[in-house]
Amino acid sequence: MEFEPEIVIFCCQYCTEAADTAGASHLGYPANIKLMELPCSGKISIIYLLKAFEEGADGVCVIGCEEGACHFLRGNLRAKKVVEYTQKILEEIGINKERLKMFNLSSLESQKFVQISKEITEKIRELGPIF
Amino acid sequence: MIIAERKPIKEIEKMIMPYKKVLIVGCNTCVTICMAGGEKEVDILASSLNLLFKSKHKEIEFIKRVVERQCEKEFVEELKEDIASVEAVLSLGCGVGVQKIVEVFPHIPVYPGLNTKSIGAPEEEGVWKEKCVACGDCILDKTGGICPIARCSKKLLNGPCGGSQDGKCEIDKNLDCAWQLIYDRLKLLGKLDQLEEIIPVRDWSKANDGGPREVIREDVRLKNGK
Amino acid sequence: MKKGVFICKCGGSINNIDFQAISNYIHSFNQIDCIKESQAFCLPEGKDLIKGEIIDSTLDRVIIIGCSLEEKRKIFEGILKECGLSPQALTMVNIRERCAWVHQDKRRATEKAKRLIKAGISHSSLLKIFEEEDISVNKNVLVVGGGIAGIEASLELSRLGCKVTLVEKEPELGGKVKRLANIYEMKLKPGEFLSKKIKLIKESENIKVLTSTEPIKIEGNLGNFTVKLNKLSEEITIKVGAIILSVGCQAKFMRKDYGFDLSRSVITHLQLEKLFINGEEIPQTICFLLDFANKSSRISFLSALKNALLIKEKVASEVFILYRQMQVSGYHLEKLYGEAREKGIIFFKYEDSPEISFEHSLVNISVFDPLLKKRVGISSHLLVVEEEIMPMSEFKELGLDSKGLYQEENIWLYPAESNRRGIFFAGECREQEDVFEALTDARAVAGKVYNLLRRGKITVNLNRAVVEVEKCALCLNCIRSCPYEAIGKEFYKDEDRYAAKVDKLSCQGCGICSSICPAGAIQLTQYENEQIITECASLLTD
Ligand SMILES: Cc1cc2nc3c(=O)[nH]c(=O)nc-3n(C[C@H](O)[C@H](O)[C@H](O)COP(=O)(O)OP(=O)(O)OC[C@H]3O[C@@H](n4cnc5c(N)ncnc54)[C@H](O)[C@@H]3O)c2cc1C
Ligand code: SF4
Ligand code: SF4
Ligand code: SF4
Ligand code: SF4
Repeated sequence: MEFEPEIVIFCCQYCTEAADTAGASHLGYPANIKLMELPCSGKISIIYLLKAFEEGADGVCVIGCEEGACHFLRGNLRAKKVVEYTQKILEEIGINKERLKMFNLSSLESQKFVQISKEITEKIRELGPIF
Repeated sequence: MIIAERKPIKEIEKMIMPYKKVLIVGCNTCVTICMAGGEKEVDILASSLNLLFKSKHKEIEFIKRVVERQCEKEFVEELKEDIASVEAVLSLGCGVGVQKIVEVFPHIPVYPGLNTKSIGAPEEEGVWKEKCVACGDCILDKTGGICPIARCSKKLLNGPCGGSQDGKCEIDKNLDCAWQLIYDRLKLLGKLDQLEEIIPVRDWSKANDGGPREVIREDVRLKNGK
Repeated sequence: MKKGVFICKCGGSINNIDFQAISNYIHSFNQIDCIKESQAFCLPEGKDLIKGEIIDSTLDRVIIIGCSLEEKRKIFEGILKECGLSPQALTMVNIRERCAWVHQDKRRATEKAKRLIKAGISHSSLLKIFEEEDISVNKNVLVVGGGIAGIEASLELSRLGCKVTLVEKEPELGGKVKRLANIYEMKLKPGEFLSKKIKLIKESENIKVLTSTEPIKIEGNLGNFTVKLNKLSEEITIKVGAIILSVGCQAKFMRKDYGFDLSRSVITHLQLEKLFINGEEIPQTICFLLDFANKSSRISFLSALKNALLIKEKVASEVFILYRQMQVSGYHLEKLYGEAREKGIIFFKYEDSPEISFEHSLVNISVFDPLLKKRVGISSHLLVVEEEIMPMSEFKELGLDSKGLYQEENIWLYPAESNRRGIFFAGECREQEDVFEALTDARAVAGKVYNLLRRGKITVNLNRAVVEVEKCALCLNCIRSCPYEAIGKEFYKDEDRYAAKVDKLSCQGCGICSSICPAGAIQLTQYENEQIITECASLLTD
């Protein structure tokens, strides 16, 4: 059977709108994607990302609003830093940092959400299971 | 406060490799504040190690605790039960914390998870800088409140070296020249004449060079007091 | 804790999920006290079913599986409230937009739906419910800056019954409008217009005016600010519930952008207004140079067009306007531009900066117009240059936007609010506005402030950060990172120690503080670390 990666996307409440619009328009994306909604991407913590991998995620994404357009000022910039720092930890422990990625969206870009979902699923499928 | 930083995970891995059950102990004081050894970092380290060992098909069980101050016996003693159930301890306290655990629990191996870096202060969000090296004979009164021993790369006592340029240190252009800072501060205070006073050669025996130091308050001390 | 799960089939629109499998799956959970299905829980029949179950099974947690649309959430929250439950007790699991409608394969969609449901149930199990709570607030308002925006905001607030303190740093009210000779499309002269407004201010019992006064310190939070004012070296302290900043902006000629000084033949827009006010003679040819420093605004165009027309009419002279990009968007600007063209004002567009030289009392300008595709030379008696618009520096810590005017914080969420809840912006300090826009803006902001304070109490947001005092190491990181300055340090009497304290009214629930806290001491309600981690684990495992 083909490897089906487990992927979690931590998504700020505004970018979740993009996902839901994609849903309302029946724009398909892989069922591998599971959304965790956060109020702001700045809520993301290193521990959530690591725990997601521990619990079986093969890939993890964080999606926040476009830079400069965070509803909470700089939450998305903090998220970017947290993702980068966590990528360093992943490298330290020998996990490909490509398994963790941050994207920026606006709440209107449902197409882009779908595209990101497909892209990341393909990427992780290529990388294979994490363990 | 004490500033510390997590050791590379590979280094930590080697220390705890032989064990099956390890207690990770953080400290809720200095190292929490400098984001090296509080509850959050204990969780992150445990999770990182879990992932690391998972990829190597090995399993170590972690117990996670944070004590109020790892440098105090009374707080460390609270770990008694946990320590009884593990094979080793990984301390996310400063060097003092590690040694306190060793003193209280001499029979269990205790490993340092942090590198203790300095006595310093937060400079901006996420940046901590060294301010004092605990030399044992403070001269801040003579240097405009800025320490040349901790902050001048050459620990010069009587003015800058020839390399001080545009306020930056010749050893590292990212460092402010301590002597420039001292000059500026004394100028601000209108006390530049203080610089004419020569600071004599220091008695380094008062620093750690003279061996471990001890501070005694006779009014409080009873046990061995006369 | 008693949980009820309601499976909504959304009128059959969720068709590629195996509901039998879902139902069996939910029945396999232990601690669930009722499981109900319906074609549509948001319709009267479905709603009654939920209501009935909440009461009969004494539920205190409700999980609805279907969609998670905001308007439906409101409906269900309403039902919970009717039954005496907190709206927080509701969890909605979206298996429609986030599952059935985006995944083709029925088997995989059903498997994913199970995980979503499991995550929802674990979220619900870990929910902590907070009581809704009102906090009493001071209903008085401070307006800083007595320009037209400050004046209008004060009048509007007074009309609505608020007590207002209006402070102006100059000895007189009026601001920039006082320095204008005309306002386009206003019959009254600016002076007369202002006098009328100021008279109304004086007549109002609700407005206290303090001139030659500036705020020096703002402390506290929405509902309870303490502001120290300095009136000619005398210190006055006032307490207010909200603050409107209408401090306008500075307009300064920046020599470094132009490379030459102001002189008899080079003046700024405001200096030109002054010539008009003083009734001084206007020379034969005049040239407006717009956008030279790439910092122009609509207001500059408004001012140039307005005055160009006036000069054309009165002095019958030759008037030139040089511009990079015509900025005539907005109220009556387009019309003004058309009129200017019609009346024979000569426009030249430029891309490369015009060359400017001085000869006796004349200014020679050489400009290449890309539309005409040729270079033209103008000799003018007067060159009008722009002032750069800059923010009033005193309030910088409140955050600035890239244009340098005050940041319209949360342009999406709350236009006109600063990043400190309870501090608002009105007029030109927020965005460059003409007088009419400043008036509308001021009234709108006054209305907002009134609405916020009018009950004398504000209900706190239930989704907010909460500090566990015993765990706080008082590292100050949360205080430094909160984008709304909603956190401070405080002595907690019961615990007998200092710890971080979240202002219940100022917190906007972003969770940034909690993701930074090194001690795990500050958590966001509904999004506690444990909750997120468990929920995420549920999503990942069958
Ligand atoms: C050159 C020029 C030409 C213009 N021409 C036109 C036109 O033709 N038609 C038109 O409709 N609009 C025109 N405008 C725009 C118009 O001037 C503004 O829309 C209007 O002045 C905005 O009013 P305001 O109250 O927001 O700010 P301001 O009028 O600037 O008032 C701000 C007030 O706050 C006070 N203040 C500042 N800091 C403090 C402090 N710390 N404490 C207390 N008080 C303080 C200031 O002293 C001032 O009185 C022009 C603007 C300029 C610069
Ligand atoms: S002089 Fe010594 S004690 Fe004083 S600040 Fe410098 S290192 Fe510390
Ligand atoms: S440049 Fe300044 S700080 Fe650096 S070594 Fe010389 S005196 Fe010390
Ligand atoms: S970040 Fe955490 S430990 Fe630090 S002050 Fe805030 S609540 Fe306390
Ligand atoms: S949740 Fe956001 S707004 Fe609220 S206190 Fe924390 S950082 Fe500030």
